[in-house]
Amino acid sequence: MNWQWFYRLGSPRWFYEKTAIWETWLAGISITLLSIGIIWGLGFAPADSYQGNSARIMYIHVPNAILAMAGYYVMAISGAIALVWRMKLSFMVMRSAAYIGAVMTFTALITGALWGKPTWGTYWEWDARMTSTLILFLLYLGVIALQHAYSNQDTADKTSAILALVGSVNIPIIYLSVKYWNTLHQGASIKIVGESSIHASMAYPLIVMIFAYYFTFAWLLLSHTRTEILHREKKTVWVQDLIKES
Amino acid sequence: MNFSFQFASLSEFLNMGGHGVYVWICYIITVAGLAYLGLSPKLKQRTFFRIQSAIFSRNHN
Repeated sequence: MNWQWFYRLGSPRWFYEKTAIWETWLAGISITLLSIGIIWGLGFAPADSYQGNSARIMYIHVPNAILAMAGYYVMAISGAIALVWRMKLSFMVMRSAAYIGAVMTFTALITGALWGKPTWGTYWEWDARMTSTLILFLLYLGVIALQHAYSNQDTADKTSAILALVGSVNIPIIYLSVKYWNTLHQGASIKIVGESSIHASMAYPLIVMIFAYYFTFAWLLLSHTRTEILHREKKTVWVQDLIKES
Repeated sequence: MNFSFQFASLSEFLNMGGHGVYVWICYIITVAGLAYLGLSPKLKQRTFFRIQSAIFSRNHN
């Protein structure tokens, strides 16, 4: 097998130059899908027969929560790749994923609390899913804090990658929490196998929003990583050339 | 599938049957978070090039 692409990926310069066009495309697709999903969810999807209009929070809460977890995988896996293959670029991806994941987890928690009040009668309950999601948020903050805790970037990268890896234990706990502990939080409504417990008129805008969020995550990850590359490679000839041109 | 705007008036759309406060705050926070994540790298890059080109021209004059 030809592994050249893998080693090329390790080159920040190659990555920076190749992904410029991707960033533009991903931004366009993400903003379009997000706009469609938000307008659909806010104005055109029907109100829920039990929850009324508060169910519209679902269209942003669910994708936020999904990407909060998926973002952690991206962060932990790129941390692992960076540790094993000593790939600088992978550390930069990890750092970017930490910032994006932290914001998305925070939004998932806030939208969850604001959805909980009108439907469950409480903003917060120390149930398994909410508590484990709060721990997820704290893990993201831990990785970000460690990134800033050392004057040596190499030490900061390695330490935060280890925290990211250890913390990945929390992801299956979040995922399975609604299955094993019978809590306030409900299980998944859209199922790939078997029949979904949500009507098509609400499932479609939700699916659009989930896709929109995956694209958005990819776009943001690229955008943040490219910025990080510039900062870390500013002493190199190719970045100095870019500065000269600007 | 019925695909029509669900509210009769703007005030009904804002009120959302009493749930307006919760729904609108959620959407505003989400959009603000995404806007921050989308714009901050652009602003950082702009500052980066401004500062670095200032350093560059100082060192080469």
